[in-house]
Amino acid sequence: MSWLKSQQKRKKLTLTVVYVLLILISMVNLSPFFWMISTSFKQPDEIFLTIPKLLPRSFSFSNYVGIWNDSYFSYYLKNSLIVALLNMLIGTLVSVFAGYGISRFNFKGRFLFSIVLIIVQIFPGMLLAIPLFTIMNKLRLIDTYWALLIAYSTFTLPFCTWMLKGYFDTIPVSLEEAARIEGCGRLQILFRIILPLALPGVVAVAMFAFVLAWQEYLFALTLTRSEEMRTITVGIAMMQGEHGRINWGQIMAGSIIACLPGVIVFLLMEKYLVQGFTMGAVKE
Amino acid sequence: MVKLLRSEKLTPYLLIMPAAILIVVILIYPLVTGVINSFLNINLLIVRPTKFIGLQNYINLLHDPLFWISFKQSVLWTIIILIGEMIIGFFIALLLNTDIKGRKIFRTLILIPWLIPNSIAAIIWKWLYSEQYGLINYLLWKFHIIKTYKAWLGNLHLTFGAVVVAALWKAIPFVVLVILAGLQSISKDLYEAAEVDGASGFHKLIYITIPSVKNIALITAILTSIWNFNQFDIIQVMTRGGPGTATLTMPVFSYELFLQSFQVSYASAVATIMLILMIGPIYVYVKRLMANE
Repeated sequence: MSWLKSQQKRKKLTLTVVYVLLILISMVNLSPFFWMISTSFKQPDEIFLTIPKLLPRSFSFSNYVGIWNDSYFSYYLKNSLIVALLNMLIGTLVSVFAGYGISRFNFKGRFLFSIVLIIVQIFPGMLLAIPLFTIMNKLRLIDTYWALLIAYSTFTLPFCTWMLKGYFDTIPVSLEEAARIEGCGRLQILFRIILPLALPGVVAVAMFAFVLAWQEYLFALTLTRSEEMRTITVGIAMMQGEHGRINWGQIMAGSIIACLPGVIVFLLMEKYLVQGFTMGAVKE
Repeated sequence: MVKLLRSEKLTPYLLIMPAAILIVVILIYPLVTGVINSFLNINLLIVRPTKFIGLQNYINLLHDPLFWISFKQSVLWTIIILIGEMIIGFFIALLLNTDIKGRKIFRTLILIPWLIPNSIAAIIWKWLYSEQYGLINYLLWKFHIIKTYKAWLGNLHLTFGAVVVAALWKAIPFVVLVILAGLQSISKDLYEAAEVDGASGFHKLIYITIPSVKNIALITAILTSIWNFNQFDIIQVMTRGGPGTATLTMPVFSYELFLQSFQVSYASAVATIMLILMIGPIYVYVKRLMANE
């Protein structure tokens, strides 16, 4: 009996230690976000203090209004939104077909196609940035949405195809076979049976494609030239130039807006995104 | 189109065709272009006929001290971040694998840095590291860890470490996510059987937990190393490879050659060397992943 009691005591102690550690880690982990939010509400005189204040005097939105009025921020936001939405549409559409293809059919070249998909997923954008620039330059596409969309497809398509294949794999084939006997065509099966069943996965992948484009930096930096065409990640990074007093309040306000899509999409789709991300690595 | 889809032999090809064509056109073609460019003499500032100069760019690189600095620092950068993210990530994953209440909330809180753009993470850290008004200097000074404020991003000895910390903050959550998924797929029966045999917590870790996640940890290590080796956004936004060459890594070096001095061919040679260095890890990664398929 006493042995059991000491067991329970030990378990309790362990859990307490785990709690304390997790709370500490979370606090350290989130402190940069706390500082970003706090700074975004501060007036310049509160930001440039040798002894920083944890909280702003008042929660005024002057930095948010300021960045909107004093900079090209509205352009950055518009560009990021347009490119991310288009990337979402193209990426999802093409990936739905390709993902279904590799999930359901055994064909010559399937293995090769799968390998190419995996390789290009981990492929560094750095190796493509320079040649894409020279190609787009020849085609006179620099500083257009087209350039960005083409560049973004290089990582969106492989990612989304692979994730969707994973979601489709979880749907039993027997349903399709029944539909085949009924005389349904392939496209009908895909749109009437498979897509509705895999809908949460498809939505997750679509949102993921949006976020991928929204967060991209290297291609956006390389393939845009004018202030009017900059995306949010590049635009804000350019605002903290080398010299003079940097307007940290406005930059932090803009940074929060740049962080929102990724965080929101993850919170909405957590289950599916985690599943999609770990599916490739954890196989039972 | 629909008619063709009814014949099953062609169906899969029609399904993957759009993706396959796009991949060839927008990925393979530029990649080959990049490798070919490294054997030419393209420099956007000098108007001259483009010609094939063989390995000249590579020979010049091998004599370029900047190249060796960037190579050495890329290796150092990749190894330090790999060790840091794996140890800390594994530890946090173990904590999250216990059956405490609110585990999901903790997991989400820990994942948040992974969800924001790299360039924005770099901006936040740049502000934290600010010499006069930064939070980090103030806190370290307040707790008597430093006596005077340091120029974290302007000091030849401190900057590399400072940028590594920011990159780690961004890299750890992904490791936690994947390792945790691996830990949760271990069957509970194994632990129960071990407990009946009177195994201690330490023994369970050594004989059950670590062997079970060894494969997934290896895959994660390779994948994240490839990512970290190619990390561009964070370094470029925080320091652009500076001060001096303190944080110059190969991707940043390649990019600066290309965008600052327009030496397209020379920069392409750096990128091609990066590609060659990655062939090994990519091969191992694909092999491991395919073994799981």
